[in-house]
Amino acid sequence: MTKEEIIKVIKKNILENLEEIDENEIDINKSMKDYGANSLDIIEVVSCSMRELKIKIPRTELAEINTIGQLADKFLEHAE
Amino acid sequence: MKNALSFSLADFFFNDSPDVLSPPSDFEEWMNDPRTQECFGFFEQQLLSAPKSSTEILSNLEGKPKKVINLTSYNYLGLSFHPEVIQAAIEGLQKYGLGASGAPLLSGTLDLHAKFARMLADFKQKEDCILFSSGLAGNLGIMQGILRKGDLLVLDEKCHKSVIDGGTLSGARMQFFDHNDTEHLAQILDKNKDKRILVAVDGVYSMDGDLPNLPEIVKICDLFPDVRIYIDEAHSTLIFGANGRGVAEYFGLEDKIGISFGTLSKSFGGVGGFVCSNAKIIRYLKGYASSYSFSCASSPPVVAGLIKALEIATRDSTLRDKLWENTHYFKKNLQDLKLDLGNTESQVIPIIIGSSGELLFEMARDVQKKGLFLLPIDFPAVPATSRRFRISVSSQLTKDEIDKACNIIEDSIAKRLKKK
Repeated sequence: MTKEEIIKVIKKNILENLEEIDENEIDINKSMKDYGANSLDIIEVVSCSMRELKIKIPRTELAEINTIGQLADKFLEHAE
Repeated sequence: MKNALSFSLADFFFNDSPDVLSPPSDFEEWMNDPRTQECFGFFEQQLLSAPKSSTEILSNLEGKPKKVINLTSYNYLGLSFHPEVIQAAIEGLQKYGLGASGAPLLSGTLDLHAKFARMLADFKQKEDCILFSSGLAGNLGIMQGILRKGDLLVLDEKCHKSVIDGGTLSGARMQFFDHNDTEHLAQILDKNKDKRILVAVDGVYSMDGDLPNLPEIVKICDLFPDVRIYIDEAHSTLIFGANGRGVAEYFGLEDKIGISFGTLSKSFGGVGGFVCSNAKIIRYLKGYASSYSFSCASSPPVVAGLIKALEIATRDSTLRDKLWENTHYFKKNLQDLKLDLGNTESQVIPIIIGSSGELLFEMARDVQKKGLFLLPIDFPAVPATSRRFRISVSSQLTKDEIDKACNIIEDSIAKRLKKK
């Protein structure tokens, strides 16, 4: 699995869970918070993406992650 | 499981099991791991006596009863076992029986409920009050009762889970502002001028013991004429303010609070929740707060005991003064041990350990074996980088109990932190 494929999954889940956002707007160097996500939205996006990618990472390991790109990197570490 | 201690309850919320009555398969594996079981052993340990400052628990660590100094129960004023409260509850039980046997709008409202609600409204200096049979039910009821889809609930990120759950139930959009960050709050309000907005803060944040920056929050909300403020005074009622009315009184800002919530389980020593506000919205809430209208009214002996508890706590400031004396003494001793107490300004005192779950639970075992009932607070209840213990100070603690507790904390916690 490539980082691009992972980013595609994360973006899809952001679009499904956040209101009033366009795919082209999403900059992976930004945080989901910058697009109006609250902590519950972020949990939803992260969980749905992990499920789809068939990976499981403890939340404690995600505490320091700030951007969508960093999340994708972390997923890539755990992807098959 | 390879790294059981890295996982937490935050990791098993979503469930892929085809049978809804089966938890996720890896949840079972995690729960059955001996390391997980050891951590969970701290939860649901039975108290074998009243939640007094010295009590007895059935220790899961030793598998037998153990006498402990209790720093965990939130019996801040010791009212749950006050002799006058017990007598009032007995009389309430004898006169009315155990249950109200009805929803409040139908047959569940006894004269006791009406009297107590009036007393609470007068105490909080609001027009009216609605009672709930639990604190969580109160917060669910308020949010679900007054907010609608299209509204915005703006919360401090450290607000209690019950407020968040109430917000979810209401269908309103929720936006969290960084803890006490008034600039962030202002940005959110500014971006959403077209929406109906309720701003929610706690009086005392339950995991940190710190207060909201209410003067600044009020100043910002005042710039938006239709924004209203809700305050959860669960841990501050009967404790803060010259008359014990809470943090809003402490800051002299009660008239700026649109809706005030409190629980009856902490300083009151009973169980329940209450909401005080203007009479019109309370009447409206009674029609739309499902946890009020579709739930049996509070148990009569509990309400009878609570009426007495409010009388005792407000007839003079003896208990409150003692609580503050104990809080200052305890805090000073902990500061002398150079422990990280965060920004606590209340009787809720965290001892922040850091990011190591292993260290937290090692300390927790030692603390309990030495006779202190002081529970570890782990992620996701608090951030993974600031796992902690949380002390609930009570007015009932003696100086001797505090000294003994501090000695144990020094041996089991402070010395280990120094070694790190």
